[in-house]
Amino acid sequence: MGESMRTEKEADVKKVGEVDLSPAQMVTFRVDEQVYGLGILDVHEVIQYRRPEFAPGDPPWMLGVIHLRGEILPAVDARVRLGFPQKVPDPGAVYVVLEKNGQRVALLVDAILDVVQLGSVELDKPPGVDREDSPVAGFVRVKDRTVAVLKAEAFLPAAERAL
Amino acid sequence: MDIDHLLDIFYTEAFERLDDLERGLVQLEVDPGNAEILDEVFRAAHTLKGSSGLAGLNAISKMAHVMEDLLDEVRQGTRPFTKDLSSLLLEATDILKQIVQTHAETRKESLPSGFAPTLKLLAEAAGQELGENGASGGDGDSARDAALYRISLRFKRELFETGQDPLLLFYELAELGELVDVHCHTEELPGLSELDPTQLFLSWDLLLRSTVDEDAVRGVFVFVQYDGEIDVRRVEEKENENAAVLGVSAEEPEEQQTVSEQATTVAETRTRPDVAEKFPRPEKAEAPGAPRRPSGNAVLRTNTVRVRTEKLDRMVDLSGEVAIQLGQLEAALGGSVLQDNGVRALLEALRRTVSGLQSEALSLRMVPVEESLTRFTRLVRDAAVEAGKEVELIVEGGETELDRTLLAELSDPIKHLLRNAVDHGVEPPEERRRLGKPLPARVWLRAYERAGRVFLEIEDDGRGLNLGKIRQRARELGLDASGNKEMLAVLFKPGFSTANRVTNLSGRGVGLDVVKTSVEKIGGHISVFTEEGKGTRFRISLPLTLAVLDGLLVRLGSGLCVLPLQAVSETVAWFSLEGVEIDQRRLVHYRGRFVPVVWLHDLPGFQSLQVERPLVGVLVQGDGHELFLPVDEIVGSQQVVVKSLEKNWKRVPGVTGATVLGDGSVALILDVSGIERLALQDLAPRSEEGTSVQVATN
Repeated sequence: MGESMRTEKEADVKKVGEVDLSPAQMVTFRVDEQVYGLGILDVHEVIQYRRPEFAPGDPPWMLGVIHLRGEILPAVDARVRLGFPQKVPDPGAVYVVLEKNGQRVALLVDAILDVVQLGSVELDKPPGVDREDSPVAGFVRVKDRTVAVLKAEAFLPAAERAL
Repeated sequence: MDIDHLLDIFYTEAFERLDDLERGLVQLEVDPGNAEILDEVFRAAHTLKGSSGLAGLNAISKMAHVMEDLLDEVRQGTRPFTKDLSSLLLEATDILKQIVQTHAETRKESLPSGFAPTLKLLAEAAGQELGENGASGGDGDSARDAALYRISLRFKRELFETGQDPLLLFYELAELGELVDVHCHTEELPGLSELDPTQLFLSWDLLLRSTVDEDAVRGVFVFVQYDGEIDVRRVEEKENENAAVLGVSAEEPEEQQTVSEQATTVAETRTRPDVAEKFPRPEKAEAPGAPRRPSGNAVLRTNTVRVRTEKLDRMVDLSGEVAIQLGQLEAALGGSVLQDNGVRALLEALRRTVSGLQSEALSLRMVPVEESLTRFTRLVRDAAVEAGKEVELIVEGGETELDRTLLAELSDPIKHLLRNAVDHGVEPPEERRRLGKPLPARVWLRAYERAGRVFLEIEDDGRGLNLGKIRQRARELGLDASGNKEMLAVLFKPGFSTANRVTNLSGRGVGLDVVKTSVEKIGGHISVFTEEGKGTRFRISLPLTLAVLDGLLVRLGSGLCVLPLQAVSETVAWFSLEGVEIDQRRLVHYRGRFVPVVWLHDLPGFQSLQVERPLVGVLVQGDGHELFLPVDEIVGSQQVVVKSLEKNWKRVPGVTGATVLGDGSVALILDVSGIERLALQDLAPRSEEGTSVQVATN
């Protein structure tokens, strides 16, 4: 499958969970017009969009379930989770498969961008994103654009209580 | 095979034998005359003695030896099986467990404080004095009143097929006393080219000097008595013959004993040197060339393998994957290729193989609950003794199969409920006598499968729940206890306990709420039925979450769902049903009864399962109610592999899991009991659920 993209994990990469520092490498993608990033250690792979099967329950950003190599993954809509209106996925829409705390979740994003090298950069945390329940860990400037660095755990079911 | 590996086998087996001992002893208390159980217990002690000796755990061997002696006397009918004896043996079993556990963790044989006193008590009970070397009937004083036995062993050639190894018998004989001479007959041994290594061509004559009586010597051969000619005869010890036969004097320390090679009768044969080498007491036989064997029984068990459960899970996943990929391959091949008869036949054969593989893989994880449930006899026995009550545990439905991981999760809840039954449910003996209730009191632990779920029931024939007291306590805690249902729900609230007395486990107010939480964690739920004076029954209902499921595939709008076939009673043409509306509840009249209708899209969270044009009503059986589920279409029935939603997401009420269909798409597996609960949350209990109900007593 050509759309599958994995990058070797590097031993010296900082975890994105430690929010003060940016991850050394980051997978970036687009949701609506905004560029977001996730630490590469939390990203398992990127797969093509497929229609999720309905699964009941909340929260509203839970779209349903998809099948990936024998495993059932919840499909989570990044648009809804990040406060954008829901819409029919673009042709370029992909799932970023996150892996955190032993759980795997397929995060539906509008388009995948690229992997960027950051090194140790301090994240910019304007008021409002420094809250515990914010899905955004902070911002970082990459070339000429601003990337919002996300917390992977914000897309797991446990995070819903904090919302 | 390294020593560590052999030790691991030993630990596993030792624990199994200790469990056998424990279970058997408790059963014997109820049924002291049961020769079968007695034999089993005896064999367990016997095997333990042998294998621990071989593994170099001499303390265990020592204690097991005295236990075996005591049990043998019971077997011979010369010693009654009393409760005191049983308690003592159970205590010894516990201590042995500790030693094995410690050894497994540290590779050291450290003795718990209870060891010496218990061993002393055992020995006193057996009327033995323990010499330094431990074995009863001491080797040390063999010179005094030792008798000489001539043992002739002519086994049948097929002996190995029964898993017996003569070498182990020799070890055992060596423990009884001093093996003065061993002679091995090799005349029948064929040439190397004709030698069948699975057959036994050797026979033996042995000379044993021991203080034990003839029966005890015969006892060594109890497991092989039908496997050949075994002759044990006491012979007179003549002075001059001694000199010729013995080769070594009795006073010499045993480690220097070697088997005399001077043959007295047959001159042209010789003793097998490898046998002779191992002949000193087993714990000395640590030469690298002589790997230690756990016991004779281990040979019998070579057809079972212990596998990590993760590997089994992986097997199940992979075999499911193969089936799906096969379906995808077929679809990709397309019509023209499938026209070819050869290809079709191959695909068909492949499909059969894959489905066989899949069902085998799945069956690996299912285990009968028997063994796990009977383990609780000990717990009930101890709890009863502690509470001064007479209780018998009756285990029913042991053949019911359950995923082993579920079973492990249930151990604590079951323990708790049994403890409760003994502590609070069952009346003291004098009260039962006064009430004319049978003694001992009965506690049932029951397993059965129904409607796609496994049920476990813990029931007692005791006094039943004190509803007045519960209501009062509920009020004190400010909880709603208006109806029977609310009141019984209160039982499962944290901190709720009406117990006056605190025991080991129950009555601390950390009872039923913990039970409820752990049952719900594995997708089960628990209900209680009680009747004053008659008894209480707790019922744990479990999904077959981890099992394969025979399902009915149905379409609801654009979504596919699987209904467990066992929960489906009937499918009925929807238009043929006559609907009524009572209290804003939709019911249909069907075969003389009113059955509630549940539109899945009405349930919270299920909105998108919008039924468009219902063709079929599926009649399903929930926990207490029948329900009609209207669906658009029945797609078919098929076996599905249940995949967890919880692993990557969380538990969803009304949903057991999901499955991947042949074409790679996903279908939800609905949990009928869960749907029933979602749908009928506000429906007054119609029958059993949570009310005071007659308890069926057997």
